[in-house]
Amino acid sequence: MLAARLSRRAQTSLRCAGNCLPLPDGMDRTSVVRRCLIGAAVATTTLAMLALGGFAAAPAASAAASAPAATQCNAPAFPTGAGFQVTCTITVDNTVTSAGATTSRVTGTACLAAAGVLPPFGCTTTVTASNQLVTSVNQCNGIAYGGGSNVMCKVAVVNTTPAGTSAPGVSVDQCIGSGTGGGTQPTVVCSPSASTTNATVTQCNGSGNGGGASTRVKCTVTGGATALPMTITQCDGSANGGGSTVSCTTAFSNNYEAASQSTTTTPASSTVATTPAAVPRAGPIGGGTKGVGPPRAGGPGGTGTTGRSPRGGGPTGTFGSVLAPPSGVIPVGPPQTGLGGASHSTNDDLVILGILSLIGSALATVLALRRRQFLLIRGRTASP
Amino acid sequence: MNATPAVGATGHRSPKWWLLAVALFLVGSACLVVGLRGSQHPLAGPVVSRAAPPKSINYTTPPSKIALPVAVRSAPVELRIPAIALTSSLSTLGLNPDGTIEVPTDAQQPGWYKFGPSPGQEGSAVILGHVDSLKGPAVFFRLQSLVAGDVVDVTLADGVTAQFKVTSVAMYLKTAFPTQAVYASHGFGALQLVTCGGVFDSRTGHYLSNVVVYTSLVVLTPASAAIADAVSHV
Repeated sequence: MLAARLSRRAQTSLRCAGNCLPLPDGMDRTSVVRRCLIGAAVATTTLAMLALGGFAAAPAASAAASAPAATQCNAPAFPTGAGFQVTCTITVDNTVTSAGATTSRVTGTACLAAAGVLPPFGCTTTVTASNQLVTSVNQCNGIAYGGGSNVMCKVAVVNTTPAGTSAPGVSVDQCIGSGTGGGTQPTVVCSPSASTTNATVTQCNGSGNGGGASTRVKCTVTGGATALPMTITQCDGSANGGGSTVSCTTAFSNNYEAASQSTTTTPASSTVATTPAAVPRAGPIGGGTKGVGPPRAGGPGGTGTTGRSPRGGGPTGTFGSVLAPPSGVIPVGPPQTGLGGASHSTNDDLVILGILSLIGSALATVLALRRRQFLLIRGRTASP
Repeated sequence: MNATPAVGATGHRSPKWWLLAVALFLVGSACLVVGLRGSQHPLAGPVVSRAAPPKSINYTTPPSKIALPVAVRSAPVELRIPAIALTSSLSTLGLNPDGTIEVPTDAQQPGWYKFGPSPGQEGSAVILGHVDSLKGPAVFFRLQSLVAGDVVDVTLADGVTAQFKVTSVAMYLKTAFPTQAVYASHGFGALQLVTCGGVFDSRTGHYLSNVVVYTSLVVLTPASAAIADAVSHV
């Protein structure tokens, strides 16, 4: 309604703008020009608002149709370099009541530290609640592929639905094209190991390819069924430097709620996947041949046996082994926290002298002009 | 014909004033240019340490051996340094792609390095602030005037207030910046305040040194106690 009125006003204003140049009978030209300028401004503003509204409407409608996603620990927010310990966990609690109301609660913990430095160091936890179901999780993708890094990520999905809700099985696409680059077999331990398009869980693909220790790609999916729609993408294209490890798990559990009591079909113990974490190390393994080299503190990336180009060891790899306890990722170099504004000062004496000189110059110019004028006049009057 | 002498007289008499005007204009312009360009001078501060400090100096030693409760991780939201009349909210800082620490985008707001511990936790929390901007002094301009014993209060997002005391103030050439001393844990709750100082290099647009204020945790005040304290003062 408002848009229609604004549009009509805009059209009127545009007509006015079109008639602006010929002067209507009986009207003052100034007032006409003023009215037309105002009309033109209104028209421009209205059209801009309508255009903006049109552009904004499309994504808004799209957003309303799609459920929120849980995302963390991805590049570029998380580093792609060497020597990092990335430990990220997302727990999604989706609930649908018997009345059809939906709520979700996402608890995300993102930890970033030097390789070998385990949580709680460098961790940040966020909790997000919504009245929409969360239907996708995306984390730990495309990060820490510089060598000597450990990526350990976990997704736990807890669905709470009315009793009788069906729970289709989940499809899995994981550990494809991972664990190459040399090392003692098995370099990949995944359960299940499968390649499926449009899978419910897509994880640990194209990861852990830098060579190094055995069992360096370890990924599991437990639970097997989800009562609410969910798509999980994690640990893809990560930790591809020499001596890096990937350990990621996805766990589904479904709780069915009766009118006054709840029943859990999946035992609590099996709802949380307990994949053994990679052995914490003081520093990254050097990505050595066959992956049997002893753990070293921040050693350089080694040479994978099958050609993956390993990167350098972690820049902060020594951190976990220094005498002091670890406390986070140590930045490189000094900070640049000044631009020189306070160390710069003007010379006030010179400035004052300059101003006085310019004033004197102006006075001298005036005097010279007056003198010249005086002499000209005197010359004219002196001539017969 | 008779007008010629007058013109000649004009040309003969007024050049003095013209010459004076031009001379004064040139002198005045030169003075203004040089005066306004001014000069660079080093910021006052502690003597530059040309090498990283040895591990035995007192920045690694907490002022007391009393076991303090350890704060849970919570982002700091406010920094107060009464000695230099500083009260400021805090931003959070991460890492640049080259591994260097981000610096605050606002010259008047310090930032907490989020990949280290939070103030009050064991380890070295680090807060960075600018000493100046292009316009003049910034939030940490007076940081280098702190002395041992000065108090630094940090309020965390969970309401806890961590109080630190300055143990030492040092200035390091950036070429010898002691990253381990500043960022690594020394086994107790520490807070390092870092800014720039020393001589400004106009070619690079940066100062040649960093000022680091080392502090150690004195007391943690829970949110409820802080509120009660505030109420009692009212």
